[in-house]
Amino acid sequence: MPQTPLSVSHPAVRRGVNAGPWSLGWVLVVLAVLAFYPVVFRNFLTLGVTIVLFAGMATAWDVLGGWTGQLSLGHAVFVGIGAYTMALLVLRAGVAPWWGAMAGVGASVVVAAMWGAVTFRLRGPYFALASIAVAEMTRIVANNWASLTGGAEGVSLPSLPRFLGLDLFSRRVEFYIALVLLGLAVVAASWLQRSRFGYHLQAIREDEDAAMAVGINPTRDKVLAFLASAALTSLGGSLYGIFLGFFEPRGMFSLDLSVQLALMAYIGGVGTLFGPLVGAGLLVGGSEVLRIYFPGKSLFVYGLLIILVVLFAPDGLGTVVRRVRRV
Amino acid sequence: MSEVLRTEQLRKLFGGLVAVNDVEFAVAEGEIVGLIGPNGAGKTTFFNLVSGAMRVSSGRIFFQGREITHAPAYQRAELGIGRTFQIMKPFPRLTVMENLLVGAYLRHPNRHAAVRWAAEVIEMMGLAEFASASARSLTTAGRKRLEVARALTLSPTLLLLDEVVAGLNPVEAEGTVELIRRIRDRGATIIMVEHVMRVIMGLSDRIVVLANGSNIAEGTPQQVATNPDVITAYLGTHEGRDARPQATWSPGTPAGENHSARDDTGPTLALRRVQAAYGDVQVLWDVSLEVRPGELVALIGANGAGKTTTLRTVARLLRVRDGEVQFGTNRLDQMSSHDVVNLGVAMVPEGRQLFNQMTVEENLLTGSSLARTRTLRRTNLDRVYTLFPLLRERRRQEASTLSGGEQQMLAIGRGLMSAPRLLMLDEPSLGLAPTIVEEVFRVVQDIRREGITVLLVEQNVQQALRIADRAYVIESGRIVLEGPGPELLQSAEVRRAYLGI
Repeated sequence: MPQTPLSVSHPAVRRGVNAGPWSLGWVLVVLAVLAFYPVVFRNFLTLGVTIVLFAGMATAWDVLGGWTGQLSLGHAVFVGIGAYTMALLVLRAGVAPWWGAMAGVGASVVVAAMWGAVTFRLRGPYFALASIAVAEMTRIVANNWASLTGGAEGVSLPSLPRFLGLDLFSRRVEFYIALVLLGLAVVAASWLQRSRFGYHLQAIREDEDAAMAVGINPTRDKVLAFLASAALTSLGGSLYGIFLGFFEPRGMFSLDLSVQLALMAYIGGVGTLFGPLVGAGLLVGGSEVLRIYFPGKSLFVYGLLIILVVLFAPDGLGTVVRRVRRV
Repeated sequence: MSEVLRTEQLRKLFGGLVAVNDVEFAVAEGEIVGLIGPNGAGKTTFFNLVSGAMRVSSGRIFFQGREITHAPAYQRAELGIGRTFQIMKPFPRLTVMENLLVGAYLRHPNRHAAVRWAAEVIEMMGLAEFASASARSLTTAGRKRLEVARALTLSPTLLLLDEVVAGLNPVEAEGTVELIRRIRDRGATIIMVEHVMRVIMGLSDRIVVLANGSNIAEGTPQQVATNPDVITAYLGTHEGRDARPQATWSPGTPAGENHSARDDTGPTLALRRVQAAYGDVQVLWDVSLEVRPGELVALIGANGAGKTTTLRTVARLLRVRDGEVQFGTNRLDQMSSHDVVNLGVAMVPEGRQLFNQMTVEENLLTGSSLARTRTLRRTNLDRVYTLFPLLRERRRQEASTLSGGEQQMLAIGRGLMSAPRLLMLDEPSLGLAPTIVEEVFRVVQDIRREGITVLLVEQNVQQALRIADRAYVIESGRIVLEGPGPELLQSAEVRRAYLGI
């Protein structure tokens, strides 16, 4: 069709698309504020690392789960691959953990590519169901292939080389590495919010038939989103391994861990920039607080809180903030 | 003029059903082709095959001379085939502007250019003021517009429009018609499926008629509208005119004479200036009609005219926005649906709506679950079995194992189990073979002979008018014609209501 001169007059047209620089500004502000956490809460560093690390992994999960609408309940696979690849290369080959983490990313991407190519041809709940199966199979293999993984006894990291002169077992160092990772994931999400690729993913999430009708190849784009999500999660997994120092397949590949990542994103709000961060803060911080104030009953109260959130903020707590601001 | 689209022996099977049957079809550049045909003719399936949303069973599709038979939908979009969905599929949580941006990115990978193009389309479609609203907040009319707009962002060479006018009010419809002309003038080729005949007859350069999956006629709007095959496809067959059973009742008998022996003091169903709507789409406008005790009244009209909606307002399955529905001295519009049934108004829904996993007898029993009829269960069951001996034979069988015709009988039987004084039948012959259709119409006559008042909605107009005492013709939600059935049978007005000429 011939192009006619643009006569965009209505202000709504401009408001109708996400203005990019703004959200990126917010990302920087939030990260800058978080950077003060170790200074302010000197005695709660372990809690801080856990929150920021899980926020990063939940945001990575959200690239696939929230932005692309493909519910994964098997992301622990990538946490585990990240942690194990890093640790085994350290222990068996003396490779530095940061290179090990990169190798973990490579392994995770390969696994995600194969897994995605098979399962994304199916629509509906199949991907979610298959993701549980894949994660469980990985856990069982890791548990039984003792010669490679150390089996159920787990692996422990006795010592690590310094990273740019920093002690990787220091909670403070771990905090800032986790923060960089979170930053990476949130910047990726903010790019998805406004880029061509991001709109492709959102269109697939909203309606796959309609997405195809406007020229989007859903299988390819879902696989690409899965690769990005797996790579970021794997990085988080490597750091998680260092943070724990000792881990076993039962924890690293557990369904529980997969569900937690998904839950954080849901509680905070899927497909939003800061939803997974809010969710991680609430679930990790909340369970600590509950453990102190409701000893023995903390899981009960935890469950109750989740039900309340689902009832009163089905789109996530992050959206409540937006709603309140609008009023 | 060069050829934009051609199909060869295109065929689509759903199980044993041939939805699209060896359709040969070609469209030249710049044409507007109307694709029409009765319900279930295969129009939307044809669109799905051309756009790639469904795989063909056999045959070939060419787009601008290039074979695309097995190309995935997104490749066809890239090549220049844009489409709308009859069941609208916006990206609900994205804004209207973002909905268009997704499509705009296909031709303009650069963000600035994409936003510019999306903005241009949004202005042209008159959606600018909704740009920042989420797509799910749009009204039906707005969503239909968004469907067209999103297809336009692809700068399509070929645009497939599936029912973009039906359901709009006259002003909106006029706007959309104007828009379609403008889209064509900008160089697009258009194939449109539309139930609003006036629109399609006025817009199309050429019309192709599908019936039961086959291309039965093709030509200018005038040629098609006067083609006897087309008229038969829309209005039903003449079959069975001489095969009518029992001579106890003849269609020519004036209504009054016919039920003189019956209880004329029974309640009369009266609709007065009824308005009804689905959400913001008004479907019925000032509908008034009357069904007197013992009468068999037919309500006929084109797809989407408001026939089923009329029945739904009587059964209180849909709220009456304004006006009255009276049955005897009771105001049905102020009751709940089960009270309506308790008063003796039963409805046999379109598509039968049986409980498939339940047996025949269980299905029947669900029809008498109200207090008034529960005590009469045995008697009613016997009556139904007498009327349909076959159902007695199969009473332990699961409903899903019955044939289409038997299922229809069961649905009617279930309606009768509530011992109704008024029975409403919605498209009882839909999807049935001609001989079975004959039987259904015989049964309808048997029922009214038992003294039950019948309000019949039918797509087989010829048959319905032949057995009806009186009939109403509904067009775009308004009653446009009323008269004795056999008389309407000869009426050119009826043909106009269906074919828009």
